[in-house]
Amino acid sequence: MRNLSPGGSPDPASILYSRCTLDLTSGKIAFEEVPCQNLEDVLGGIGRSLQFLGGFDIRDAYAPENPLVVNTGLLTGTEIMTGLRTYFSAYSPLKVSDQGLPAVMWSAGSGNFGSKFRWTGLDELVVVGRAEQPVYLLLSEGPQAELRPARDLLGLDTHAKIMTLAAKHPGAHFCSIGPAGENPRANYMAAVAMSTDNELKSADDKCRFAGRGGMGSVMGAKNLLAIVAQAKDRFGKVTPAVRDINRMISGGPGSAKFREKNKSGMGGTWSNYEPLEKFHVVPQNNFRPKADGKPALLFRENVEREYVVKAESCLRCGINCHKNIYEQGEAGGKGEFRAKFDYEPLNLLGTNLGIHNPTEAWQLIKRVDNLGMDAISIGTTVAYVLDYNERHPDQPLFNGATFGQFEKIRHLIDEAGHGRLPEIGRGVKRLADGLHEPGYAMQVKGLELPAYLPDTNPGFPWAIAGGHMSMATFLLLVMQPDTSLDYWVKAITERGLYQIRDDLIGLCKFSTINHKTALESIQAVTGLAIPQEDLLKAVRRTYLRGLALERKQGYADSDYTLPAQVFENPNPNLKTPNFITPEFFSELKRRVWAVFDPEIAAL
Amino acid sequence: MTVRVCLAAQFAESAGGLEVLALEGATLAAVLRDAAARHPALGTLLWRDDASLNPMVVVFLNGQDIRGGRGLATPVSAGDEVLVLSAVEGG
Repeated sequence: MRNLSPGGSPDPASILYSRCTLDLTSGKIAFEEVPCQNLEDVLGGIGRSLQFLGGFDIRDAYAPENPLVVNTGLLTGTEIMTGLRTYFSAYSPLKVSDQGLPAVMWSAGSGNFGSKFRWTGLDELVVVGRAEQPVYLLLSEGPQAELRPARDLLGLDTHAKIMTLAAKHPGAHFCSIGPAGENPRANYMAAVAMSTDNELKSADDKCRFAGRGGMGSVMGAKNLLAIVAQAKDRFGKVTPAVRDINRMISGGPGSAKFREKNKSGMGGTWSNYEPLEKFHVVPQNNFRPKADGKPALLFRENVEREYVVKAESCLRCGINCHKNIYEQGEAGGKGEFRAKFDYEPLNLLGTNLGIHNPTEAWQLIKRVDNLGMDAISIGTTVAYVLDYNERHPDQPLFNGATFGQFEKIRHLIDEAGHGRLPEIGRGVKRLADGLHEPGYAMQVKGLELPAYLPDTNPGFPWAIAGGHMSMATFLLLVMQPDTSLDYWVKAITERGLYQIRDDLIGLCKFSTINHKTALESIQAVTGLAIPQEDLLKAVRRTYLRGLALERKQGYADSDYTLPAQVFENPNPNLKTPNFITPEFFSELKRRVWAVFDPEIAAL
Repeated sequence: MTVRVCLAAQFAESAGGLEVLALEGATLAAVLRDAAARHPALGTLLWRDDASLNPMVVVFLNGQDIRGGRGLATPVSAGDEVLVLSAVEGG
């Protein structure tokens, strides 16, 4: 970013961002400095990419003209703790309207790739076209860009690709796809892996992932297997203001959930298991909790009887949210690294598949990471298969797997990850529609649900990029059992949508800082003094653009719904109120759209 | 006596955006009752109708989770710091 205004004015017209456009079909690479049109452009991330993608008419996510936008936020690569985010945005093969058109989607991840990307001098990379042969892109300072052949990377898993490239490009960081992304026609749920310092130093598979929406599949469809960002580290001076902000991020109340107990924390997202189980809302056997106590078998205290859990982090992050599982070593130390346990993958590749054994759970998590698949999408899709097979014992799908059958489940994941089970790899919506049993397919708008029950969250349909990262209504019912329409309309239209703020500015959501501190962070490292009102308007416009882009791709009233099971067959085991009736939901939709429709029209 | 109470995001929002409150009470229960009296919306988040603490609320006293000790009956002293958090967060 370059600000032409001498006084650090946040006037967008005086701020330029640096973009590289790569056409893989022709091999042409172009650099330009682009003047910001509005505050969203300045903030970056999806604030910019959603506007850019809105200018394209894309009817097939794998068409060469579908642009894959890789960009950063204003705080990516700065001294502000957790300012590590990279965003991948494109028309998605997975998020598809009932009319069959791909919708705009994004996925974000941390690790060290984003910082290095920005330190090359780039703010944004736009990839169009399709390479004839597998390639990787080498970005370096200047910025400069060069395409290189990548046939030797074909078939390697995400981590192996990164380590192979690390041997060729010391000091760089990397993003890569795995075998799933190499088979995009059979796998719409491929993730992009990003390297971490810890991974490169330990040689353990400790990537971070931009998992949702098949951004790795789009990358694979372009025959782009990896991107290398080669630049010197450019950590700036930690001023007193930055130091205070970082102390707030690493030790304040916002990040306490993700910190260790000995750091005034609660032990990470994994610790959601215990409070959610009190209400029997931990997804189990395809989002159908049984109230049999089995989720407790994967509580952290039980896993720690067999394994050592170490809290580790992305570079210079004091939250230490990575809860890494190691074998027990000698003298109580850690042995071999196994996998990282977070609530989402642990639930969706464990409890929700009827897997309650930590050894089996980590093997599935590791496999999914190595294959480069979104843990949410594959876990939720496989859960549907197991459910279907339990309902149809005489005509089961595939290998007949049902809940808890580890070996058969692992086989399904392996096959899907290698592109040999497209029925699974293309996601639960297509599978369930093809089987004419969509009622218990846990998806909304083509995206598989995260590990929060739709029975507890009528806000899922207004999430524009996956249920829990783009609409903060997924935990409200357990927090405050308010079932009034007024409450939910406000939750969606006034509060929940601001969940996407950090998808513009480059911070990890686990920093959990308020808007005031976010703005202080921006001012501390860029000098830009942005009024809070302006920030909130920019975030809201970005969210509304997301909805508008859904409509542009044919999303209609019928797309904005929940799995029919919620309405037709409420689960009596839940200790939360059963309130999402068809009448409630219909009125909720009417009132939410009454708020959003005029705002979308005024964009 | 007065103790400093720090509120995580959604609790602060229900207290009118205040992230730090100065509250009175001899025990944690009394302090959190004082919070409810001063900020009714916060009170509905903290307390259930049966006067029990919302099971989704976690309270730390001077950096320690109170669930392992005397819980809300824990006495507080002037200058103590109380942290009110949600037991569940996404990710």
